[in-house]
Formats: sequence, structure tokens, C-alpha cells
Amino acid sequence: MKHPDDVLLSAWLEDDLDDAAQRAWISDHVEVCIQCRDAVQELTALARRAGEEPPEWPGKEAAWELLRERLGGAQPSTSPMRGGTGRPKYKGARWGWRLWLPTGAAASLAVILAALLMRSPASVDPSVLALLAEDAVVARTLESATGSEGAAGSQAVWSANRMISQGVDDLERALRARPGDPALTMLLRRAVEHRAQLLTEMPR
Amino acid sequence: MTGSDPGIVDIERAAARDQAAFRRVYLATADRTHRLARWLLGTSDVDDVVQEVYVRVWDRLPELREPAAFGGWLRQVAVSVILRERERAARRESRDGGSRYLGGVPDSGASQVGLRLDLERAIARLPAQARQVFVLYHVEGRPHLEVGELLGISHHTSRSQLHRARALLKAYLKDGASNEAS
Repeated sequence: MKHPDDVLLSAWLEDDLDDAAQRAWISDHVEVCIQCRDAVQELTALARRAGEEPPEWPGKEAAWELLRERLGGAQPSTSPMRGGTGRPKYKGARWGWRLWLPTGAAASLAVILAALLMRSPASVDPSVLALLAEDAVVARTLESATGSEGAAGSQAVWSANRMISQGVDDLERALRARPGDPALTMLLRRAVEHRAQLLTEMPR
Repeated sequence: MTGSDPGIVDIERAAARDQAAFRRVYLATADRTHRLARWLLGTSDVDDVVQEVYVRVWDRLPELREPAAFGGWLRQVAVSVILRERERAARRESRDGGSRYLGGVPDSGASQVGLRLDLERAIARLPAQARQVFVLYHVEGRPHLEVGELLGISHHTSRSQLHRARALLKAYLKDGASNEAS
């Protein structure tokens, strides 16, 4: 049996193949070939591993001392601080394969919503955005479309990751245009969290 | 401590020239920035570059209008500084015939028998362009168009280099696993 090589499988995962017949051949092949399905899983896992937390840089404390000298003798500001306790940390709940795909899709929706906001800022009610961004609502909406597993699931993950990354960029741009917008800020946080979640929750 | 997202209050205080707050921001993000520099430049000798990143962050932090967007903003600054250093290194290399950066050579013992060839070493083995595309796309989440602009290549080349990088990484990791088992 002829097998697609890893470069071709990677391109298929990213939907980068122009040749429809080639795409169809690989899709059919991956369905029946355990070896190639494993290869797809390994390629998919690379993105997850690349997104893992980095190891500690042992020299960072020493490097700070050098850095401090370059920063000069600035003094703390006495200006009043706004409230807030920082960006919420991801809770780390381990979701199943079928559950985190809708979550990725939820962040993808943020892309569309951000685009809407950028085009017509006054036409979208922030409370509607907040509602739409709720994981549970989006998950229910998309649940039926995201039950796929194996290679098809991996492909969906790649797509979701790509869309989320685009969404983060779009939201950051939108925030630059509308600094401090609470709906945009919330969506950006969600998109960033979802991207981290997508990478850390990928099946091994 | 392996780093975490810095708090918004610390970001705001650092923007108001509070060095103690900036230190906390630095400590929370330095591991990730150091890895980004290491992976993009393909060497472990990146401390000076990381310092340049944070000097730039300190200088420009007062311009950041939305502290919640700090993470993405920091990555943009870091990538910009690191890639500028990459260009300088390339110029030095062509002038001096040196190979401090961009060699695509593992910096420590990638071929030593008995050592696990982990992802870090596998990435260090990648050819420079494939490595940079992989890191910008997968770690930084940049779309191919932007990766192409940053590296001065077409988005088609970015795509093909990404697939090449993945295939090579898979092979390198398999080699490492085989060496470990033998």
C-alpha cells in the first residue's frame, strides 16, 4: 500500500493541499491505515508540545540584576491604581476530546464577533457578545457538529487553533481601536485561554 | 517558579515606572521569552537578546493602553527584537564567517547516546528557516501571511517550511526515542 509521507500528511492536516483528488485520497487512506493515523496523531501532538509551559530559565534572577542596571533609577509611581487582580488563571479542568472541540469553536466565534465589532461597533450589544461567548451556550450549539474523532478530529483541532490565533490578533487590533472595551477585553481573555486550553488538552 | 501571567496591577505599576512591579512582570514572563529567543535563534546564548527585549518593554510599557493585552503585546515586542537580532547576527556571520546564530545546529549534545532527544533539542536541529516558521506559527500563533512578512519569505514558503519542520521534528523525536531505547 502506498502511504503519504509526513510532509503531505502535515499539509493535509492544515488543509493546505490544492489538489482535491490528493486530499480525498489521503482522507480515505487515513481512515483505513493505522500507521498513517498514528502519524497524524504524532504530528498533531507536536503543536501541543510546542505550546507547553517552558522550563525555568535558571539565569533569570542573575539577568534581572544586569537588566535593573540598564533600567536606571526610576521610582515607583504614587498614582492610584485601578482595581483588579490580574488575568484569571486557567482552571485546568481536563476535558474530553468531544468537549474541548466545541470550546475551540467558541473562541472561533470570537473571531466573527470581533470582526462584527470592528465593522459596525454600534450595532452589537455587548451583553449579547457576553452571552454568546459563554462556553456552555456555544458548546450546546456546536456539540452536534464536533463529535468526530481520530484524524478528522485532529484536522478540526488544527482548524480551531488557526482560527483562535487569528481571533486573538483580531481582538487585539479591535482593542487598540477601542481601548478598555469590557466586551472585547473579556473576549480576548477567553480566546487566549481557549488557545492555551486547546493546546494543553490535545489528545496524546 | 516557571512563570505565569503577570497581574494587571503589576503591569499598570510597571508602566508607571515601578521597578519592583516590573521585576515581577519580568519574572512571570522571562521563561517564555527566553525559550522564544532560544528557539528562534537556535542557540542557548540568548541572554543578551532577552535583556534587550525587556529594556524595550520597559521603555514602551507606558504606551500600552490596555494592560489585559499585555501578553500579546509582549510577544510582539519580543519577536520584533529577536528577529532584528537575527538579522544583525546574519550580517555578522556573512562579514566574519562566524556561525554564532542561525546554524540550525544543536547547542548541546543532541547526538549523545543515552540522552533523550526531547522537543527542545529536536527544534534546535531544525534548519533555521523551518525552525523559525514552526516557532512563529505554533508557539506565537502567527498566521502564515505574518510569518512570511516577519521572515521575508512568501506565505507559500512559510507553509512548506512548516510542513517540512513538522516532518523533521517527528523524525528527530523518533530517532531520540530509538536512541533512548537502545
